[in-house]
Amino acid sequence: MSFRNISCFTMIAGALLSASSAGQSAKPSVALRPPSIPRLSDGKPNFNGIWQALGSADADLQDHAANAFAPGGQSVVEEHVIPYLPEALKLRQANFENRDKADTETTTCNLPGVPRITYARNLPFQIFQLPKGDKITVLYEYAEAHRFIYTNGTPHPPGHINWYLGDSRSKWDGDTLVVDSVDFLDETWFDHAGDYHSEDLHVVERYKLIDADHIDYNVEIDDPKVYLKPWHIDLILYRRKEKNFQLLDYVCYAFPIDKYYP
Amino acid sequence: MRRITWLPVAAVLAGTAGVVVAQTAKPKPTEGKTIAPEKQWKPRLLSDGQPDVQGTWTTVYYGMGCLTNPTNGDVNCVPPPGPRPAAGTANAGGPPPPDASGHVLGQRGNGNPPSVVNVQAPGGGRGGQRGAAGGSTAGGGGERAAGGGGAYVADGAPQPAAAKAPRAPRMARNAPSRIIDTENFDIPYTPAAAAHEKELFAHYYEPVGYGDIDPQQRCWPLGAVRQFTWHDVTFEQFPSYLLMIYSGSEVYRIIYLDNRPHIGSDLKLWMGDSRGHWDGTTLVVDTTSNNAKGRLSRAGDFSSDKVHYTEKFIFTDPDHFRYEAKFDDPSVYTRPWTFGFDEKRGYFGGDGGVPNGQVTAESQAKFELWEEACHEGLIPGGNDVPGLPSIN
Repeated sequence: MSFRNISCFTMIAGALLSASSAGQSAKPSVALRPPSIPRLSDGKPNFNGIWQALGSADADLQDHAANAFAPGGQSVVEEHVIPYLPEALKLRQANFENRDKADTETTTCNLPGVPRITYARNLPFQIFQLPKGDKITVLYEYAEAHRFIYTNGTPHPPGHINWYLGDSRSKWDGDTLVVDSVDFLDETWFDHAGDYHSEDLHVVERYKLIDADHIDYNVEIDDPKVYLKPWHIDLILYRRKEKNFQLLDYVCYAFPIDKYYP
Repeated sequence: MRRITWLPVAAVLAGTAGVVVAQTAKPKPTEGKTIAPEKQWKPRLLSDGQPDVQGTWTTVYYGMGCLTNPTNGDVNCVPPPGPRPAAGTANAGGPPPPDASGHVLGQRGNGNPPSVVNVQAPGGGRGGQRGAAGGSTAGGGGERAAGGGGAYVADGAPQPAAAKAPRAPRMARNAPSRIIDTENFDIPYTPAAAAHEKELFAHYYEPVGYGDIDPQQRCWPLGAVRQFTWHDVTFEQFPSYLLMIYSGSEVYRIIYLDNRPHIGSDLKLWMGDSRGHWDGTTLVVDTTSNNAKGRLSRAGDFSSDKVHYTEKFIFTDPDHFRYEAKFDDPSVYTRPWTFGFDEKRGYFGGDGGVPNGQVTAESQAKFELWEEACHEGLIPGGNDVPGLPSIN
């Protein structure tokens, strides 16, 4: 929108003013300057706060019409479709057909893996970050889960280790926090539509503040057993700003708790 | 081999606790008593003025079986009717023999006084066994996470298959009651509440309905207080926050230090809603909005969702704190009472998340709390329990 406004302004300026003044209008405008982002005392972008995804990635990362489970949604896959290997696509389709029984997020309330924990049920999560800290702690309302994202340069532990949320080590690429995660088990899906991976999953999340209240959340997903090539999810995460907003609990029940524990 | 979770952190801690104390050359306090430090501890202060208490902590007397005698499995309260777990399994054991007066320590209505200290023989008992059986314990944890539940009566201990290996019989040992300020060191239940507790305990091993099953067996959160009697907790501090992140299950508490109001009283949470402030080196936490679905022990102890805790984390030196939670719930108790116990700093050897080996400054700095998922709400074989009607 801002680019369109500027070119519009340039045309008007060119029409109304002399050729010499048209040069002035080509100077960078205030609107082009990147918005300021909050920073910690060590100069790093400050991600502290409570964040939440919108949209329907949890239902299906790719284009999907509304159904009883969730609203419809446009694909959040940058490549538009996930580049499955031919055999893997068959399994994905079988997963899709069986999704009401086989999605462990919705049926047995297992931890949903990475990156699904970020948008699982679109629940909020809180980032805790210190200047020069050795890790960033993320607490999720989903199932009271947490992640430690190490920022101290340590490598992944000797693996393979089967974890729901993997092992996360990060580094900074300019103002972008780049989180490298491996050591996943193969049970989790990326959505309720059966999009799956093997234990060779390698996830690289890129968190970038685009202004004080929005994070561009870009995720590269690679798994040579399942995909032809790496592919990407891109979402916006929104800051919760309500006064006294806080995380509650979403202890997911694979059991009719209200019936037996009233 | 798959390794899904890392379970034996507390086990290793328990097994090496004595070594740790020796290595750190700290004076060992008289555990089980409130310690009056000889010199006022001067902690390092963080940028927002909080004393720095970050790190991983573990309870001195590990276990959540019985509150009146915390460390001998769950059978030292008046044993419930029904079959006992097989010898050598997680909850085996029996009450200690009566004393000359005929009293059995730790029985309901006869909690262990604070003068009781751990009489466990050196090298014996659960800590050593768990340390020695670390491999099978880790396997059990993995099965629990992968299969969606623990052993039906899970204690974080070897599963029945693993438990077939010969192991030393569990020794009776005693620790002070976790109830510290009532005359009989037991919970002052109203008569109706006492009957309910007895009912819950009586059906612990032989449930006659799904509601008899301790929610802990389904890996649901234990509640704000019971969680401290089980596995370890990592404290992290940020301006206006103290986080408590627990091992043994995926659960955390956020203690808000910014004077914000409590959430609405009708909104109930598994771990409650906590507001705290520092009074010197004591963290005082006011906790409301407990859903009270988690019990307080395996012996059927409970509160209602009207309970209000005032918790104190009394830090006495860099390596110890005393925890005291005053329970106020007139709907269940005849008077407020206090749940108290001691916690000590965890020391870890090895590299990163593998806390084996010698404890050094470097190994301590490298320790990482690793994922230990246990919250699926399931027990082995799915939701159904043999002998009860099918859920699904």
